[in-house]
Amino acid sequence: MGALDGIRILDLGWAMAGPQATRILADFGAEVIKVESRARPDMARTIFGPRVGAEDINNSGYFNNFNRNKLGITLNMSRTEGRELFGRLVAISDGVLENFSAGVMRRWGFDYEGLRAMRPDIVYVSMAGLGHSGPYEHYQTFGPTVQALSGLTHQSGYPDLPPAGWGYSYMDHTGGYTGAIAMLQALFHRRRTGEGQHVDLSQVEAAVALTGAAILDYAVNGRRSTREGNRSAWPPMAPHGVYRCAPQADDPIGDDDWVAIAAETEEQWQALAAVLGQDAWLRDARFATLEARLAHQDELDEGIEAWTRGRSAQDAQRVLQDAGVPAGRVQRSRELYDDDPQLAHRGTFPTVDHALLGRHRVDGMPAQLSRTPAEFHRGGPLLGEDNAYVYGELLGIGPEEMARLEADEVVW
Amino acid sequence: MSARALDGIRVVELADAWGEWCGKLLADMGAEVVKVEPPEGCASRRVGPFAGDVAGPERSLYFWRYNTGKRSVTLDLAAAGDREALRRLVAGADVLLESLPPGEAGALGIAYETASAANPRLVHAAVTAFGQTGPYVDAAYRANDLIIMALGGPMQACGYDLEDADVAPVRAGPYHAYHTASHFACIGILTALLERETSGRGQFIDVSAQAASAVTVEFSNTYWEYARQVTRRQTGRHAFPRQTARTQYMCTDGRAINLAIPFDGRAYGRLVRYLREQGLGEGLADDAPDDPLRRLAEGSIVLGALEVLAARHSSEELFHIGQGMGFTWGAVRAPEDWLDDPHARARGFFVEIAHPELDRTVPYPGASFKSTATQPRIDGRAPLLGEHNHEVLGNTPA
Repeated sequence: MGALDGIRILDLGWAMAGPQATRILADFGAEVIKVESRARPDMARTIFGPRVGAEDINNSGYFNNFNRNKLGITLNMSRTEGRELFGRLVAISDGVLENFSAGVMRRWGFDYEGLRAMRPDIVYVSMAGLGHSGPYEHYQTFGPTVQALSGLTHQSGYPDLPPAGWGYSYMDHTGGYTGAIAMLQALFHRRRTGEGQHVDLSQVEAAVALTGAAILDYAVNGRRSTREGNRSAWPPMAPHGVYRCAPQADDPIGDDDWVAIAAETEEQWQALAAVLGQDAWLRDARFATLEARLAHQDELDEGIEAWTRGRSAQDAQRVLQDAGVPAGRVQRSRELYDDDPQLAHRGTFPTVDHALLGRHRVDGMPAQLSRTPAEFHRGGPLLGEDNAYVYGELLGIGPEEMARLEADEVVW
Repeated sequence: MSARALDGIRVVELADAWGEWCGKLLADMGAEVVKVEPPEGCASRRVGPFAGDVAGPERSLYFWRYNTGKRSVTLDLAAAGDREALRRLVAGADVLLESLPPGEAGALGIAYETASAANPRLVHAAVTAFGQTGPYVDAAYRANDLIIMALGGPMQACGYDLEDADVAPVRAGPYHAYHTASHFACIGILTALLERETSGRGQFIDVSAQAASAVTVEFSNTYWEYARQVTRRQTGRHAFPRQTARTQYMCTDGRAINLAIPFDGRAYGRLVRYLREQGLGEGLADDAPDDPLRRLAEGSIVLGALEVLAARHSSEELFHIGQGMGFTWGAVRAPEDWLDDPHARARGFFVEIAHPELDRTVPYPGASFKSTATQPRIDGRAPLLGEHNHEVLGNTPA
C-alpha cells in the first residue's frame, strides 16, 4: 500500500520542475496522469538527454527518470473538445499541477475558478517561474534563470572570479520539492476540512528563501552578500576546502579527482595534522589556532594539497575518515551509481522497466518511510501509453468514440 | 488569522543544521514546533553573521533565519529528569524531528520502537548525513554541508570551464546539502501525516542527506545511466558531456547575466532579428527557417553578438529587454537585490518581523508559496533560548 493510494493527480508538468514535483507524489502511490499531446510533447522527450538508440519520441532517458511511476495520455488542449475532456478529468481528480508560464491555463479556461467549476474541492498547484501576479508575472524562466535571479548563482564560486553558478538545474529539483510540499499540505488540509485551494508557487521566491542569512545580513548589518569558493566563514572552519588528488588511470576527464576536507573542531584539526605527518603545524604560529588558520588559508591549503596530490581521493577519504576527520571524495555520477557502498546500501537508485528503453536505474526516494515506503513499479510512459485506461476505464468512453476522438486529433 | 494546513500539529524538534529548515517550513505551515535545546543553546546560535557583528546566542542571523515561529525549551539531556521531560514531550507530539547521530535517540529513551508504543500516531523523522544504517554509519563517517556536497554529487557539476580557471569544483553556496535533506524530511513528514489520516498510525522516516543530494544532480545521473558519459563542469551553466555554448556574460555594471539561446524556434528567430536590428551578428540570416543545422552554423556568430550586446547594457536593463521579447534571460542578482524589487513588493514576498529586543523589525523572505486557503506565514522571530520553558514544560525543572 502506498501512502498516497487513492489520490489522483492531473499532471500538466513539463521539462523538469513540474515533473519533479509529481514524481514524488507518484513514488508514494498517487495515480499521476501526465497530459501531453503529439503537437506538444514534453520537451524532456526531445531536448533533454540522453536519447538512446534510434530516433523515437519515447527514447529519452531523462524523461524516464523524471516520469517513472506515472501514467501518460495524449490530449490536444487546442481543441474545444480536448478542453472538455480535460474538464471531465479534472472532475475525477484530486489535484492539478502545472509549471507553464503564467497565463496558459487561463487561456484554456482552467484558472482556479475554471478548475473549481469542474471540481469544487480541487487542489491546484501552479509553479510559474515568477508566480501568477506582479509586474514580472509573464517573464519566462528555466532553472538557470531562476538560479541567476534569486541570488543562488551569485553565491556560488570564487570571490575573485565571475559566479560559477550551478552545474545543473538545482531549482528545477528544488522548485519541484517545494511544489510537492505545497501539494501535500493542501491535500492534508482537504482531507481534514474538505476544502481545496490554489497554490501559487514562484520558483524564484522558493530560491530566494534558500540564500541563508544573506538578506538578514544586509538588512541588519548593511553587508552585501558574496561568494567564498569552498571556504566557510560561518561556521568558521579552516581547513575547509577541496583538494586535488593523484590522477587516476580511469579518470574520464583526466586529472579531475578531488577530495573535500573540513575540520570542524580542534580535535579534528589535530587528527588531520597527525594523518598528514605535520605535527609541527600544531606549533606553527600560522596554524596553531583557528583564528590563525583562517588568516593563513592559502598556505594551509597548499600544505594539505601537497599530501592529497600523492594519493587517490578514495584513499584520502578513507584514511581521513578513519582518523575522525570529515572528508569526502567529489563523486561523479559514475561513483554515485556504481561505487558508493552507502548509497547502494540504501537502494538509492532503484530499477524500473520502460517499454522501449528496458530496465534502468532511476533516482530514488531518499526519505524512507518504514510502513509505506516509496515504490517503483514502472518506467516513464510512452506518449499516450495509458489512453485506453484513462479514457476507457476512468471516463467510460467506448471504442467507437475513442476512434473518432483520435481521428479528429482530440486524443492526439 | 486564516487557517493553515498544520494547525494543531505538534512537532518536537531536536535538530541542528540538517533538519532546522524542515522545522521552519513546518512552523510556517502552522505546526507548533518546540525546539529542544541544551542549556547553553543549540549549535546554530553560535553561527554568524551576528546582529551588529556582536556574537551571542540571541544575535545569530543564521539562527534567526532557520528558526522563525518556533518555541524554545532547554533541557539538560544528561540529567534523568530532563530526559523524562523529553519523553513526555514526544509522547504528546504528532512529529518528532531529529538529527541525532544514529542510535542516540535510543540512548535518550525516544527510539521510535519505544516512543511509538506509547504514541502509535507518532511520525518520527530522523535527518542525518548518511541515514540510520550502512557502511558509512558503521565506520562513523563524519560529514557537514561541504562533505555532502562532495559525496552526494552536486559539487562535481559546479565550477568553471578549464579555460576560465583551472580550479577545484565548488560547493555552490552554503547550506544546500542541509536544505535538500530538509526538503525530503518535510516531504516525508507531510506524506506520513496524510497517510495517518487513513491508517491512524505514524511511522519512522529515515532521511539521508547524501542520498537526497545524489538524486538532485539532473543530467549527470542520466548521462551516466543511459550513455556511460561523465559530465564536465562549465562556467555558469549545466555540466555536460561535451563543451556547450556559453550563457553567462558580463554587463556594463560589472555584473553577470544569463543569456541562454532559446530552445524554441520562433523565439530563436526573434533573437536573430533583434541582434540584426542592433547591428550585431553580421552574417546571420534574419528570415531563414529555424533548423538545428542552421543553429550549429550560426552558433559562434550569435555568441559573439551576445557578448557585444551584454557590453552595451547593465544587467538589469538587458534582463528586462530580453524578457520583453520572451527570452528566458536573467540577471545574476544578489539575494538582497530583491528587497527593493517591485515584483517582490507587489507580491508581498518580504515580511517585516518584529525583534523587540533590538527595538526594530527585520525583513525576512516570506513563505515559499501562496495559498488561497492555508497561507503559510512566519509567526514571529526565532525564540530566545528557553523562552518557552514555562509555557511548554510547566513545572518541569529546566
